[in-house]
Amino acid sequence: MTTTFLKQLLLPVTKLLTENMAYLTKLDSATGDGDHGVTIGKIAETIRKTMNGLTGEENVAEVLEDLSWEIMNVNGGSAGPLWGSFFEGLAEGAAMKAKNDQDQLKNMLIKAQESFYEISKAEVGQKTMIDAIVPATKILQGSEASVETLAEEMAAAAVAGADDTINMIAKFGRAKTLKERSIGHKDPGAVSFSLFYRGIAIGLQK
Amino acid sequence: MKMKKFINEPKNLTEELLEGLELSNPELIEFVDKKMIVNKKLKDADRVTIVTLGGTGHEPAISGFVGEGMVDISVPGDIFAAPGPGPCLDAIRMADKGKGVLFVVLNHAGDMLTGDMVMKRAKKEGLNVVKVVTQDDISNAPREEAHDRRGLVGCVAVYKVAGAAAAAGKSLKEVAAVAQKFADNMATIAVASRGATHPSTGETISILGEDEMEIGMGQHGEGGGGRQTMGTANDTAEIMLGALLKDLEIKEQEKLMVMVNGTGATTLMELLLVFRQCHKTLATKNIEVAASLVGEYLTVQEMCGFQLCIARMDEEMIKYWHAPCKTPYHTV
Repeated sequence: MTTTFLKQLLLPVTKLLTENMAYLTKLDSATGDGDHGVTIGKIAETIRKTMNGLTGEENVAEVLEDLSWEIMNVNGGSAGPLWGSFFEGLAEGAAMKAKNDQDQLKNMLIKAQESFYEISKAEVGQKTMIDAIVPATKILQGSEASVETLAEEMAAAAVAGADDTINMIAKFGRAKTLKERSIGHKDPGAVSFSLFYRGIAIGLQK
Repeated sequence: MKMKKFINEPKNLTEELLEGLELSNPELIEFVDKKMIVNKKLKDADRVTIVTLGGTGHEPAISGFVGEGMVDISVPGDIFAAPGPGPCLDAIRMADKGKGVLFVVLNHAGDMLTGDMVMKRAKKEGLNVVKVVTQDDISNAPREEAHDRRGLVGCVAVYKVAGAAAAAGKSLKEVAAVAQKFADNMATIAVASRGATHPSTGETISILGEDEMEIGMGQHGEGGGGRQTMGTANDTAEIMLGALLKDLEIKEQEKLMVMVNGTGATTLMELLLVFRQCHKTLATKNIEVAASLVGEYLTVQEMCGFQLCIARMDEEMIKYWHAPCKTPYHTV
């Protein structure tokens, strides 16, 4: 894929993230230290800056690799490292052999989950970002169809996954010290990742 | 609890405290690029070097132990927050004098994330670095689930023995083995009797009743242990020492390091009472105190309480423990 296509995919993600900063901070204030929205805002800005600087001629894998390191170094708790690792996976997937853009994008999104797992020790059901990432990735892994065809289903799965965290007990991250008291609150990290998949789906419609 | 601290603009806290550390120890350390504290003699080092990372607000840890014979570079984060992987990777590149780097990481979520990412990148770059994790808090998980144990003041002792092994010219593999062996044979438990306030937000960390103490606090007063009525120095020391001895399965005639670390607002007087009782109890159990340290090494602002850390010692560790070192807050 060209970096023009990459930009088409990621700019809607940044838009959604920025629009939801206040909402994410509100969610994080219930169970965490209330800085998730601010950090996500910084991450969105980092991605946006890179995307807006692209000419269309660059190598997608290299752009994503550099971007992943920048995201990792965004100050503000664990969201930077986790999002950075996810983007590092996108870069690794982009560097794999692919038949076409759709195939490449699928590799990217699947590798992103893998890379995320290397850093996060969380599992599904523990009220973390994973609860949005895994259902979305499962849609892609379970079908031969293109990401474009599956986009809506993927985004819906991520959103449903984030919604499901309401009933989960946090076993990971800062909220884990709250134990049962974490029930009734959506995990802000899962919500921000659901916005990522929703943004990609919007980008694919363009 | 209202915050009552002598500070300036909260957002400048980290930078200002590190500047203070540098200015008060100009012969030992340097604050480089406003992102790391570096041993002034690093440039002449022809040995394995040691890098660590961690949040500020716990002074003198971690940056107060940078110097000869302990840590070569510390990468401080903001108050109670881990730094990003970027400066850590820069620190490892700078520290490597051709003999490799030992990278010490305390087991806290943010520190571990940064540590893992740094290692992934370092591998890609072909850097010669070994990571050792300290996870000495016995209160929140059994020994078999050590990955859930938080890193408390034990890291300071690990810096000491690893730094001495590095100074003795040991290889990276050997230095890492010393650090790992010490880490595997140490245990810490904390008690708090009054909470603290977060210096940048003013938020109260841990609320305890007037007549209460809690054994098994984390680094920042995260819950996880037992609340009970405030005890005497002797009784509290007994409970805590007993838990540590059991955790490490210490037997008669073994040798121990015993460290009593004040967390900020407990007086040296009290810490000495606690140490005294530990020493007495160990003597009756025929266990030798081969190394000791009493004072403030890793604090949590104005938290009242202390961390009791013990470690199983052998001749090699005792030798490293007593080897010379010169850092702002620990000198032998």
